[in-house]
Amino acid sequence: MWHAPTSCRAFYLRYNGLMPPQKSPKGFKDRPIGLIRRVIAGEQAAWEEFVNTYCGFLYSLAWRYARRDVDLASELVLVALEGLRKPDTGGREFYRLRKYLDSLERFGARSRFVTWLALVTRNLFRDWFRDREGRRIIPKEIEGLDLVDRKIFRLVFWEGLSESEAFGTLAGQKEPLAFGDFQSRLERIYTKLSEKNLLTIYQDLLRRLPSLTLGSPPVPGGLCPVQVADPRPEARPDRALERSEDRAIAKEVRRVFLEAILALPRVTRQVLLLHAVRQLSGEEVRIIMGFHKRQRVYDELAKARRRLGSFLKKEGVDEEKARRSIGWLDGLLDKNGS
Amino acid sequence: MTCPSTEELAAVYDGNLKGRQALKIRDHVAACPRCAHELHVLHQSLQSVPKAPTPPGDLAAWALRPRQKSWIAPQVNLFSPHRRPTK
Repeated sequence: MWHAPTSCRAFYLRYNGLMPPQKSPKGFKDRPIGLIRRVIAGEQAAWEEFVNTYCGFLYSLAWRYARRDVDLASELVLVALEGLRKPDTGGREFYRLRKYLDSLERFGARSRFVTWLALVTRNLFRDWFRDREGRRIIPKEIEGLDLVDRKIFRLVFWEGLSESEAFGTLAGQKEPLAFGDFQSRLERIYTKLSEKNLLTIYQDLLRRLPSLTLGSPPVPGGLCPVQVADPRPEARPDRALERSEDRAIAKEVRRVFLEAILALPRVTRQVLLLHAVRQLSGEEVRIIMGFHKRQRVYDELAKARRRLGSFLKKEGVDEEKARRSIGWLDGLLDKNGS
Repeated sequence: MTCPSTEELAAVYDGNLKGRQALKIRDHVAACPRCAHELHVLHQSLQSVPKAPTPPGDLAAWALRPRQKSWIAPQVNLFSPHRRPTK
């Protein structure tokens, strides 16, 4: 059973029956019933007024949940506004605002709008974070580590990325981290994690991975042998050599490939990155690049394929290894018919 | 008693509930750790509002613009062997 911290009970008992009526912050009406009615009626001007009035308040609420991340706080404001716009099962928009208005009309003026909005918004943020990260809580021993360590923990243990993938993702997020530093941080996480948490996380990872039978085949009618390997790198010497070899090959391929991309003409490079990496459609790339015809996008892509293929050949990079190291290159080279 | 609705909890926080229903909800909240926790977090959220910085100037305009498919792709691992281009 879930237990609230003692401070919560103390908080409520302190205020139980003694709490004086609260006042709304400056600039906010206690109950903007007229505005809400107009919003529900579908008046666009009213919705704009609503957003202009409460955007700052929502941002202030989001700031706490976004942990001082401006972009995330802005995104959370959108999440809250979308949640307020959400239709009910009958397809009528603003079902939450309707519910608030109903409660006011049925039971009389009881709560301030900002209090209600704070409660609803908090629930919307919580649902959004649960959707994004699942119902998982960072173990206490990891919470004490710095932000980069926590990011590494999420990537490796929650998202199940390999070491090189996690490092690549961090590099994509502009984390100034050397690979050695990354590895030592990962080691630290392994040593910090308690046996119990490590086992729980590993079981969760195993559940999400396709099943794999290790050891002798199961005896008919008997139990299926299950072997759970210790996930720590030092406990897997058989994989260590394989991993270091893979890493070296992948590193070399990436170096050559980045050189090849940099050698492309500017427009060709931009088209390639938008289409192959950002996964935008031909039409979207055409709009961004300002081309008159979509065919130009495909011509630029064909040019990029030709040049990348010949560059890889010239540098003596095995195409199969390049495909294995960089997934999206696979389809790109296939289109070339190489 | 089942847990009170969002509207009722907000009214409890504001101290605007009166009569028998108010007593019922107060008794419930005193005994229910979840509702007490909700109130506690609500209190913290509202307390933190004045301390937050002012939002970016164009936030309201940004929130009001017609929603389109975002041009910005989510963070991607460029070199993942699992990545495949969109067909």
